[in-house]
Amino acid sequence: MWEALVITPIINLLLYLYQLLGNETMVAVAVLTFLFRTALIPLTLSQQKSAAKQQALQPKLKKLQEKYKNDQERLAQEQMKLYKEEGINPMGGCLPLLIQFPLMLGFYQAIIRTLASSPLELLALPQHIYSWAPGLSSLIPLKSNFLWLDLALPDPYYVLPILVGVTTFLQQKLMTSTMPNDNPQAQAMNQQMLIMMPLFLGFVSLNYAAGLSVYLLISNLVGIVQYYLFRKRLYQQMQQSVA
Amino acid sequence: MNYRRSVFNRLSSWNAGILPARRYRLLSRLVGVLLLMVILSTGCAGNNRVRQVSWPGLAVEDNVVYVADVSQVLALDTESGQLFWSYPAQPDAAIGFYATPVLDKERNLLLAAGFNSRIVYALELGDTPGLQPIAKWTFGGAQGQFVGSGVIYKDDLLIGNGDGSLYAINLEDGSQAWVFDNPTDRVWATPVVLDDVVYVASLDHKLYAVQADTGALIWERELDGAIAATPVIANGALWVGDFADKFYQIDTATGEILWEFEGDDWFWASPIAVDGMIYVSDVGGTVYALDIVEKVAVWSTEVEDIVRGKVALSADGSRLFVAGYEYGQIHALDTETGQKMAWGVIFDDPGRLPGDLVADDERLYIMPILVDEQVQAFDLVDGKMLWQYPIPETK
Repeated sequence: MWEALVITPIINLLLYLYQLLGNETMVAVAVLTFLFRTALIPLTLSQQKSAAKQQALQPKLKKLQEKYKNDQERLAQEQMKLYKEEGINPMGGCLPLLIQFPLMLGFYQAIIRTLASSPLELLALPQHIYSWAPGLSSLIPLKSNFLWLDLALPDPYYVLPILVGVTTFLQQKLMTSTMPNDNPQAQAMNQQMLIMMPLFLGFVSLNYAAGLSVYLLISNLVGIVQYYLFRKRLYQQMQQSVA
Repeated sequence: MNYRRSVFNRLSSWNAGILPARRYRLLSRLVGVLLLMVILSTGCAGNNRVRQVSWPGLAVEDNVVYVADVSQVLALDTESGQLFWSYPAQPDAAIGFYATPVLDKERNLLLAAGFNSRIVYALELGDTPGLQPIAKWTFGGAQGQFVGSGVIYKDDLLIGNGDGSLYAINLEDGSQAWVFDNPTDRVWATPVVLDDVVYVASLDHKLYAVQADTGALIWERELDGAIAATPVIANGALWVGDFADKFYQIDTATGEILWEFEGDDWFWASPIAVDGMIYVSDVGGTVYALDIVEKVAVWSTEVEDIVRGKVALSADGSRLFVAGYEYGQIHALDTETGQKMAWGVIFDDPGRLPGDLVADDERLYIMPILVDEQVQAFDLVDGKMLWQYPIPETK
């Protein structure tokens, strides 16, 4: 199910782009990542909007917690009532993430499978190629070299892991800066994420195929551009929510 | 939650007075991430079981089974499966032996190539099978991994490499006689030799004919897909399949395509040619019997599994054996009709079968992966398992 609905379509789309873009794997991965992230913009915006609204509700929620600190059931009812009045879905912030995460995982798996470098990895590929799509089989194996990189192997000079770490930090920093936060716990969490996410993704990039690093890098860059394009709108929405 | 908090408080008490609480929390989470990274990296490197990247190769010569089994080359008795010797004596997964070993009877050498180590090892065999071989020479001049096996031509071993080259290695001292580096992608197929010409296929979609004495190009032919299968020579022509689902007959003299046959999926298995027929399977599990004189498909049968390995024929030619990769089952087909025949037993946990099937006059040998059994031998007639290596411990 997962393979047929997520991985196989992405593999075929990647192969199609490879064919269309002059048999350049790097370009195909970059374009596919760009398209993928662009398609997810509505989801990302909705997640950010929901987070901003929830943030604006914090003072009211705090008051409720104080008021009903000895009656958890009533507290839950009042919180739901407040969410309803303000037109907020409490799961609204999580839902886009829940949709994005498996898609990102599928995207990664598709890239790794398409760039198969060993015989056993390559053997798993033909069952994912649509037999009705002409010419896709004959594209295998994809050219995996680009400059100093073999996209199927980790970057030997650590350039991509560093870039992934830096852009992840930048993106995290920008995202957290849009959220004025009075809650010290949330602030601490943001601070930790600011350090941990770049470290973690840099580590992933260090150990896995460079194709994945390209995906992470382009994905971060799209996130940063997206921030600059939509920050004004987001800021206005936040102001309205607070008001 | 309370338990978590109390654990955290207890841990924090160890820190009392050293770091501010907020920094301590940050530091402890950072340590957590680093630990996660260590766990991930050790998980990637693998545990006790070696991560397979290819499939083991097996050759049978003079009642000895030679197996390139990832971390060692093994010599086993064909009758009993008893181990004669292993090289190196202690397993070394860093070598990654996958390519089928080649026996040079004239010099009493066994030639094995390492996928990971990128080295060809020439093992000098003793006078009896039980004697431990010694490494006579090694060749480390290739830049890529060895996947396909080699072929002996006069005083050289001809072997393709992942760096896109065909190497001629002198069998006396391991020196490089010549190198043919025209292919622009990996050479995973085993080269074949006919009349002083070596034919080599590459993932760059091309088939090359090269002077076996000098490495000079004679002709090259571009096919529709990548070629990972080893060609076979029959009726004076080359027969090979590619990843564009096509199987070709090619003129050995000019490289001209004389006939092509459209299959259902990639051709990765090497074909076998017997009495005017070619038997070959595609990756999608369809087995074809092609009449190479009339140039027609006589029959085709689906075994409902992925098939990567070369099929094998029984000694009397009546049965064709096909290894299903994913479900690890061996299928026996009637060579006349392609009908499935009852043969062997179905195992609960057979592992996977990506490698070529090898048969001698009495036995069929397989090399499952992802299970403890490395080699199994079956009776060709009734499919009964005769032995397996390692021999299971008795309680």
